Amino acid sequence: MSRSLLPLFVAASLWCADASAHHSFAAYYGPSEPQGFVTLEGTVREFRYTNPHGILLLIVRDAHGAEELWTIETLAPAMLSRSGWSRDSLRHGEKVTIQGWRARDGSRLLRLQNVKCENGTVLGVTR
Amino acid sequence: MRRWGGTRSLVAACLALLVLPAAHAGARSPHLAGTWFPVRYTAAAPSQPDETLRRLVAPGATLMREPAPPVFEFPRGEFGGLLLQDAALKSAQQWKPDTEPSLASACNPASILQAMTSPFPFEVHPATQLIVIRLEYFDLVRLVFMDGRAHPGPDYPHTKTGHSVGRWQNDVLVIDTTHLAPSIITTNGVAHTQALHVVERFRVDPDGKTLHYTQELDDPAVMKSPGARYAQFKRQSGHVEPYECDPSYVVSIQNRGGRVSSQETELVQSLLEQTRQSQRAWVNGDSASYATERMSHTDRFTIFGPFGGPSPKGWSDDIAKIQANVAKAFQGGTSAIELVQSYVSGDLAVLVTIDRNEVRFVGHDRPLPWNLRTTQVYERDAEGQWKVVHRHADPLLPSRNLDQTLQLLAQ
Repeated sequence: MSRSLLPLFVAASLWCADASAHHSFAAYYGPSEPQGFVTLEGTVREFRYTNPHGILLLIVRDAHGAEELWTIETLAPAMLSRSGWSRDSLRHGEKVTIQGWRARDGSRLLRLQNVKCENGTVLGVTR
Repeated sequence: MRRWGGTRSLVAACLALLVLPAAHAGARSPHLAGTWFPVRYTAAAPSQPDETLRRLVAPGATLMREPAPPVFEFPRGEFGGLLLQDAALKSAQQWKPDTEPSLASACNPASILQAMTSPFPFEVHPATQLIVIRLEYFDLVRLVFMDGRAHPGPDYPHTKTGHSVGRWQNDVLVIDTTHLAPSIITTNGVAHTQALHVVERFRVDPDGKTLHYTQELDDPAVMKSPGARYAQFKRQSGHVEPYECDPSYVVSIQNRGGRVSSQETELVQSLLEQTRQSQRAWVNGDSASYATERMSHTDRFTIFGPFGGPSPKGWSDDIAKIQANVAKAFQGGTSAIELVQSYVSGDLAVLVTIDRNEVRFVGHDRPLPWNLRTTQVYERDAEGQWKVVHRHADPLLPSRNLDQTLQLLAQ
């Protein structure tokens, strides 16, 4: 089949392309510093060390004193472990400072760049 | 049973290949054996395609631009220079990131196009007429047949690793792959069909430390001309880690914005507002809203009041009478409550607050501070109402040392 005829069949063939696990961080999260890049201080509510992405739930107090729950997405633990992370890197109730890219939709969702733990350890992400 | 029989046949065929006398793979592959970690370029050290491999890429193929660090992925609408068919381009431009991830897709790996250029290492295990590539990415395992066989017919299953045959072209390993299941080309909406044809080339530098890699992809339904991608890997000790995909993270992503959080925040704000109203009433001599409306009239109720003394356990009308008598001494003033911390879990909530009041007390000619540090534990009752089951309120005093505290306790 020549390429010139193929576009006629594209619409019929593309539908079968399945949804893959991977979503683009670049499409999902803020462009770069400083617009989408934020720093949060909060308390660890939950840390899940799972592939394809880890999740950190962070309780952050807003300017009025009300608590907000932020969802922090990390890279795959298989990669984090090579940057010094472990399943026990963050404990429930621990006070931490997080830096990362905020979701483009403005929700309380962040892609993690680094975290400063209560003991002063800074855990980053290398790819 | 038929499927298992087929699997057994495949395993037997693989084992047979592994024990055959050395042929192509064994003769050339020692350099390739090992664990290879992707090299991530930087703005200062951008991607530099290996010249030997670049010359082998088919004329007319578009060498894709690599996405910019530090994110290493294309934003929406950027496809690295791939020349897409109109329908594919339109489909990709309409792709929206908020459709992903989903529970259904979270553990669905991409095909080798993404897998080989993902930020994960892979191991290469050359045998005799077979090369096994074991990827960390989703625990994928690729079999590359080096025995000169052709690709199977169209009825052969299409998978994310496809059907791969390999050969050596001087010091370059060339892997040709078909039968790939539909998946993604980029992570931002460009998808390939099952007609995708991939040619990969691997070349290891003479020192054995660096692996150069190109990927040539042709899917006429999607692209006007083939595309090509370059990557580089460094040999390192170590191995691939188990991936064991767990899709549960998607639930957290989907609940972002804090559905749970907003409920909690609303609850905390609601309880705080109730407390503020009660506190204002109390400052004006009315204890009813605290005693009658807010507190749990059950055996579970406890209270540690600011005056010390016995701590009642279980609600009784006497508590309401005592509170009413105390409140009579409060003749008006101002009140403010600062939230120090809150905790919500299931049917239990806790507010830790500093209550700052200025009160005109009976017998005093000017307002006096009535500052408390308080902890209130709430429980949701059978009717769904949040009631205080424990209140602890102490005077907010300046810091005192051990001796002063001992003196206080000795009184």
